[in-house]
Amino acid sequence: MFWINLVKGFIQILHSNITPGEIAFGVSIGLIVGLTPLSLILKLLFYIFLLIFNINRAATFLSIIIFSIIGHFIDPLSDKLGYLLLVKLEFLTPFWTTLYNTPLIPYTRFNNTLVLGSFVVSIIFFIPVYISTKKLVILYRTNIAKKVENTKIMKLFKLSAIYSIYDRYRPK
Amino acid sequence: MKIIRWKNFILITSFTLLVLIFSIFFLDNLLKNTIISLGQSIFGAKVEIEALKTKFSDSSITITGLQIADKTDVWKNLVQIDKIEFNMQTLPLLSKKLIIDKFNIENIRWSTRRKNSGALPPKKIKKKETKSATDKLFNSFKTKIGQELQDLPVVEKAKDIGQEIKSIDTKNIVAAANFESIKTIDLLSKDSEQKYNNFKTTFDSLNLDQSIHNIQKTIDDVKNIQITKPEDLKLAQDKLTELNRCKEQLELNIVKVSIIQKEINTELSEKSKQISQIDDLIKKDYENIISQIKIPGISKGNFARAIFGPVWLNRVDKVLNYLQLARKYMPARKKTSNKSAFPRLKGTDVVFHKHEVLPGLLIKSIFISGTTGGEGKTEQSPLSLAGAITDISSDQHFTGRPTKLNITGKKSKKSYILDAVFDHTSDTPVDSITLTLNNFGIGEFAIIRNEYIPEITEGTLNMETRFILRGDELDCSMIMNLNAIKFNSTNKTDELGKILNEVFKTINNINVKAKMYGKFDNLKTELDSNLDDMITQRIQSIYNKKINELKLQIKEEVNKKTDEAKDKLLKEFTNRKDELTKLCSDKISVLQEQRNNIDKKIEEIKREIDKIQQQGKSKLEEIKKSTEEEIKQKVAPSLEKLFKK
Repeated sequence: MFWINLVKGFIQILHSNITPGEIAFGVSIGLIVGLTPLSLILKLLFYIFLLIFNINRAATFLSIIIFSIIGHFIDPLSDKLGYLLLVKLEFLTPFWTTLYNTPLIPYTRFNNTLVLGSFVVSIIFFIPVYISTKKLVILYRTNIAKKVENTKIMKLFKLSAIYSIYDRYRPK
Repeated sequence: MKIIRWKNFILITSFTLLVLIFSIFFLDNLLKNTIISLGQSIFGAKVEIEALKTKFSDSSITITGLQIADKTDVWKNLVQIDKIEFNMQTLPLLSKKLIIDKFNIENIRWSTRRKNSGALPPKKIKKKETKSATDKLFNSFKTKIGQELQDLPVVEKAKDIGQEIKSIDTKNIVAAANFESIKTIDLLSKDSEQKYNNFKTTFDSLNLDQSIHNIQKTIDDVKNIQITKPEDLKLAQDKLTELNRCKEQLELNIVKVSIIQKEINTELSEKSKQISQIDDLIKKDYENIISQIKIPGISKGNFARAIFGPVWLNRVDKVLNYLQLARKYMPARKKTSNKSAFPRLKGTDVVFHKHEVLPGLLIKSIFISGTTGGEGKTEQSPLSLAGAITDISSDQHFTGRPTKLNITGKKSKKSYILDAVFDHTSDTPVDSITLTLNNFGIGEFAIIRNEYIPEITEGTLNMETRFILRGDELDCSMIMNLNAIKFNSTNKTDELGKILNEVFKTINNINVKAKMYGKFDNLKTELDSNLDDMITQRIQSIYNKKINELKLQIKEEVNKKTDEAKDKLLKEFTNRKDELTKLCSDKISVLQEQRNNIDKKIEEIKREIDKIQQQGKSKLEEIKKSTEEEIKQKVAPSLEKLFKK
């Protein structure tokens, strides 16, 4: 059921009027939040950020779900990267030391190898994900959207209560 | 395109403000829950707080009614504190640093009874981090202690000794045994019979009766001889010769019989010696049987280890928990290192050190007051305690001083001294805890918990325990003296229980020395107590009695089997000895009598012969004289005429 809803949500976004840039930005933000194990306060702050700034929430949340799943598989790699950055690369130690002793920064838990490693991975892939998502959305809308629109599945989605709720709240 | 959703911004800002105001009002509850959650994750048991109050003016927090349950005994509190008060420096909190200048703990007590169970529901028991070197070290120690606990002897094994002794079937054992003594008795009996027959044959071959008869006849013949005249002399001489010949024969027989008698005596003496050795053989047979029976031994050391071992090991385990906490939250590091890595459940936390920058945790001093009494404790005169902990720091290189703890209490002769030093200022961390108790009531301590040890109703305890963890090497010891002890008897009705009840009635003091030392992979434990000697000696004396009874039974069985044969041999030997001895002595006496008679007769005849010879001589003299006179008378006138001419 979860996967069905996920696919449904994804298709709904693609068939909406949201600009590809917005979708891509939402997915990229979702990449950062999904991959990085944030503390509760940071998650709350992020949610506030999401509400304040004009970022596509649906795309972001879908992206968070997808990248959280992917994050479980790349955690060992992220951990190693974090360890490399925090422990092995000595030239970065003064920078980290300053950051560690700066007010509020320690609450981000940047000094945890998994958190930093995952964050750095998400930053590295931020722009590529943005660009590729944008291109994919444009490609989809240009070539595939109409075909999918006429499929029975899409019609079913449209009929479903969830689609109606989505339809009520989607930006026009 | 709008970048900011101003409607949402205003809504969220207002909402955030409301939340902040709400948090300020409900900060106390939030903090309380946070502390409870943190405490439960550290101690693995329920943490309860009656009330928590924060004060922004001096950044202070006051906690009242703190109870931390003991995960090893969920109906008791590990610690119960009436009031905790401390104030933090506010600015360092922004950098996630907890700096506390003053910290007061009022009325701390431990092992108090709880009204409800302190166990956490399984969901709340968080998975313990085990990745760090410290966690691995302490888990290794605990595994080793767990193994030691499993290997402790069971007191109940001692009661099997009585059963083992009872199960020994002496009759069957003796019946199946190989008796060298009986074999020897058979051999001796046969040999003595053979020798007896030989002696009898030899005796018979001497034909002494015949010889005696012949000699007697000769003597009788000689008796009838009359020597009155010289004509009888020849006969007398003949008889004399015959008598001398008989005497010679007699002497020869006497010699022969004497030789036989000597041989008999030699043989008898040898046999007596052999017979006297039968008792030694019977003794050897008995000892062989005893050696083949597995009479259970009572070894020293089992009781003290069984009784005090769990108490000692559990205390070591508890202290190791505290040491583990100390090492976890005040980790040691090299002075020159600029960072430290701490593996967590997810990832690794890296702490960056900066010279003269505040550490993550710093509590300058904690003032403590408390008591050794508390709910659920039977202590009659609890002791008031006071002390302080100084320089608690997550980085001791900042303070340059080890964390020290000192808590003391004294009331007349009773005293309590707890000293601890957690020195992580050097490369090798050294943690030491020393606890000295004097004149405490024994009832205040759950020292002895064993179904075979009676309840101690009175007594005083003096104890000194020392725990030192130097790097990964543990060295801990305990010296405990229990004095003026009085016990209640146990309900045990089995043999061991009764014996132990008897033993404990006579015990006035118990000394225990325990040690545990070494690295986790080579941990050694030693435990010694005078209780072992006392119990072992007493049990030994009781079981020795039983063992001696058993041995007596075996001896009786052995004697039963050997006495008959031995008596028979002795009887036969005595009878034969008497018979042969009598035979020899009778014969000798008869022969000697005969010899005496012969001697007498010979003397008689000789006398008679001498008499006749004397008579003859006198007659001759007379004849000679008379002849001389005749000649004189005849010759004298002629001679006279001759000389007159």
